[in-house]
Amino acid sequence: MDFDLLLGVLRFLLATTLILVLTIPTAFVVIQMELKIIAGSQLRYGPNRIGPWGMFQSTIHGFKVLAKEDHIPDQADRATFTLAPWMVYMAAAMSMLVIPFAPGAIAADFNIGIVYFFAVLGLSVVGLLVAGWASYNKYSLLGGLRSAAQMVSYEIPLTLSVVGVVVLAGTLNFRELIEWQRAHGWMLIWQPVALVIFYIASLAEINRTPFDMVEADSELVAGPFTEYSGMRFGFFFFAEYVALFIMSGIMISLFFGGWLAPWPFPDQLDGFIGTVYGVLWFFIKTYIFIAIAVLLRATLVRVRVDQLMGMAWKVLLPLAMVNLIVTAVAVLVFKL
Amino acid sequence: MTIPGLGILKGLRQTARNYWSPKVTNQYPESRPTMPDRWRGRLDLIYDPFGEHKCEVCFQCAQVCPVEAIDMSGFDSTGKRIRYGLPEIYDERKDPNAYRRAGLPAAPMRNAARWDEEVDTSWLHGVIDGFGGRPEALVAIFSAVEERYGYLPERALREVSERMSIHWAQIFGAAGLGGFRLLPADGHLVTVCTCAACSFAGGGALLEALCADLGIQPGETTADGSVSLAVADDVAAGALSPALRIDTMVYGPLSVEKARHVVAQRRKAPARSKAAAGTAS
Amino acid sequence: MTSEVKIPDPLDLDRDEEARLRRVAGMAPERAPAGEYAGFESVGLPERPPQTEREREVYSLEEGEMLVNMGPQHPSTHGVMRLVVKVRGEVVTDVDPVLGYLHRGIEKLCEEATYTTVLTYVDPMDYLSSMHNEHAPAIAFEKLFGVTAPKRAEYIRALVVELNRVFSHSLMMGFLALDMGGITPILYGFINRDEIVDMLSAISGQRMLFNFFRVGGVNFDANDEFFSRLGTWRGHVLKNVEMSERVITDNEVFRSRTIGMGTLSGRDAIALGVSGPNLRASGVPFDIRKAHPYSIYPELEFEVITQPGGDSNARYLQRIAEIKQSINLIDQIVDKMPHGAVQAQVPGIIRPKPGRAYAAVESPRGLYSVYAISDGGPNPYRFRMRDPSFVSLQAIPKLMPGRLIADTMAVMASFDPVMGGVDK
Repeated sequence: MDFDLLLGVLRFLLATTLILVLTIPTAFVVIQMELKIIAGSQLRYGPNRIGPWGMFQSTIHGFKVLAKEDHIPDQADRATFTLAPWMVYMAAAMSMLVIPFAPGAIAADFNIGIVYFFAVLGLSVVGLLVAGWASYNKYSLLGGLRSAAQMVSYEIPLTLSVVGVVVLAGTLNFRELIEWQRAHGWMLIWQPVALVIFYIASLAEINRTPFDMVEADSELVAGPFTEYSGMRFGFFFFAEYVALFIMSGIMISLFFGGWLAPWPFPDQLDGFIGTVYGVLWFFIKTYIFIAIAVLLRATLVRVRVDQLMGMAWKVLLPLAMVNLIVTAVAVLVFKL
Repeated sequence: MTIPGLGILKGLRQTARNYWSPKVTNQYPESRPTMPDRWRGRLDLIYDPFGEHKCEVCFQCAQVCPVEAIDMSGFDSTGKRIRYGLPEIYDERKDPNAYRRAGLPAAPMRNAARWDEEVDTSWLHGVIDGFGGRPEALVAIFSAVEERYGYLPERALREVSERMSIHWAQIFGAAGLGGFRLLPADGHLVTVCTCAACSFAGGGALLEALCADLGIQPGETTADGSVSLAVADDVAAGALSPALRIDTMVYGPLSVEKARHVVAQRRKAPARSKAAAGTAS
Repeated sequence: MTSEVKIPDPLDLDRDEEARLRRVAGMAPERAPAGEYAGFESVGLPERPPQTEREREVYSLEEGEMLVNMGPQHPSTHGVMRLVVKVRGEVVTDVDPVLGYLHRGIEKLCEEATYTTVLTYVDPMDYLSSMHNEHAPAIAFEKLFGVTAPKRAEYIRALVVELNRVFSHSLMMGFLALDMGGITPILYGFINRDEIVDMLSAISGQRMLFNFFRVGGVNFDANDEFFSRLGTWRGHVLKNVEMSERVITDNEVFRSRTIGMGTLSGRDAIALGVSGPNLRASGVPFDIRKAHPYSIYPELEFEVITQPGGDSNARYLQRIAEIKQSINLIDQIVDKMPHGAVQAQVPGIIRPKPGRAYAAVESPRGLYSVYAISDGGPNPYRFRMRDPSFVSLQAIPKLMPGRLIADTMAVMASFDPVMGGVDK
């Protein structure tokens, strides 16, 4: 038996397990941030009784969701009803595999990492559709369809904006992309338009305000999750916040230098301390962007469905295409 | 179709600024808001301009409270104590747990028997159903319970309230006013009537004779525990004056001789009926 | 184990069984043939022929249309109201508001109550503008009884009424944003409201259903506590209102969802009976405080504000302008308040001479009026209230067709109805 192969498999299994285990605390932290930041911007304290500064509130929410009754509607399709939360959650967990936390700390350093990421992220669309259909509730179905339409139409500007980045960097591997940014400066200087498109499209992908028409609670329906209760709903809930973390992580990897430290600090250190250093900066940047997304939720009103779709197809898509063409021409001309 | 721009940034700036501003939440148990003087929301008994409580202890609020949250006791115009719940509760709230919480030495509960005794619920249900569950039969049901147990256990009263769907407050009221015993005792309870009619007809002499006979004052029990003496002013209607009541049976009109004879006779008989003789109390 | 209770599926029953059960339930013995009264059962109405032309229009479906129930349990904040919306896809073709879920029989209750008790019954009608609810009956009863309130009482009345208007409009800004998904402005509105309500509790003793007005004046005089809270509040109210404004008014998403939505022309608004800020936002300068002055408004200086446009954004901007106008009025009132008594001498139980009286006030939702008939006894013979939210709701079926479902709540929120007033 090839010892290297065995070691590689073992490492992969360990990394995968670690990723799966880490999704839950990540979700807890993100939910806690959301509770506190929205509360702060509304001039109130937010949870401050459970744990110091209310730190354990979201953990308690997680356990509460476990304790609720698990109810499946009589006429719902049990197999698909059970499958849907897993699909959405797995989409989030699997896409966490390629996130570049630090130079030595990527769970799966694929050469086609970026393609893999966007492919797997699309699995959550299927999960939502299945959830809407399996609930045997016409309003859930409509909500699921709406959500799927929204996510699918925003995937195109999302990926197109990333193609510009890929063309510039010349690689689909996250680690090499960050190496390129280390050499040439952060991508946001090179692709500002792509950054804007990516940010808006990513918010729409994960159904965050202002694009959360689907789960809006002052609208007609409660979306595809109406019939879900207990931990099944908990999966959807956590998957949304894990997806927020993932999108922020990918955004900073693509545009803001990933694990690289900003100007006054040294870019990257070596060895084990370098890994820790990289992880630290990765998390700082990610959480800054999560905080911005949460603040957007506190401030903005929802965009209407037709305006949402109109914006995707009539504004973001042409912009992304133009950006791509200009980038490609520039790469050719300036031999970057 | 919109492209986000400056307006959104202005809103974000305001929200972010608020995140760093002092918050307006009142952290309630630690800091209580000062309510204005005129605020009508306080649960206070209010005073009239002469310094007396305006509350007249008419029990209407306690009777009508849907969650039975109000207990009350007070003094009526003749200075007598009137109360709404079991009299023993209102003598003082000497709950040992409350004493312990306050760090004071806790006296043992005087009425410990009430709390952890068992009541024969199937028998009780049989009695209630025997009367058809009619509310008019409440006093008769109480009589039956007292005959069996010698007093009205609180558990039994709760059962009656549950079963007959009568408000607990009303059960209490009926038990308290009806002359029933609410504390366990082994002997007979002799209640001498001191209402106006009985007093005019010689009830005072009756009471003195009985006190001399038994050697006790009203409110006390004889040394062998067979007879307790009490006074009340609602034992009988005026036609039976002077009257006295032994356990649940009212005797009248009586002369002093007859009263002493009746009490002596009943004293010899067992306090409980045969059916209850075998039950623990 | 307990046995399972099997609920029969109506599709399992044979015809006789179904007819028997339907008779027992008081329904028609047979289901109505599909197509004619087809729309009813899907929205929870019994199958019966439509009783009005309008009902026939709403409940008859064409090809591709669907009746959807936006049920009485809304997460939206106006209260309990049911909207039966006829949609084709995502586009609304008709709306039928079903009211009555909050009906408490106030008008009937008032017929059994003395005139002073009536003033406590009307508080919870339009619970966000309690003072206005009390003001109109107070004026009407004073007309019936022939008593005038002293000057100081009138000034205090106008003061609390304007304060009520300020917080009602602040809340409307919040509700409008909340119905569209913005969760912050409502809390700013409540901060404002909390301060005002603390103030009003210093003067009237209650924070929400004030029970402050009496026939012939007000119950308590304004004391130092009230004025000190008023002064503190006045110092920072404009900053609070601006804080709320900054989050939404220029927000592009908010603008795209309110500009051009629910446009009501002035002519239509008058024809429908809409009044108050909704009417003035359509360009019609009708303000009862100027048109049919009451209380001390003739002595105060203010202009009638209008907005051109008549869409949701105009109604929103109109309310912001009215908040500022009310603050200005409060300044003038505090400046000019005379000394004196705050309640005229009236007997304990008021028995006016037989007669009729009408009084209208400008509430934050529009024209709020009371028509009282007295027969000489201690209770009013008839006490009729006309609530502006009830009338504004009629505008919804006129405005909604052609819009999307998501706009329904947004447009309705811009009219600021309060179901307590609608259903009484």
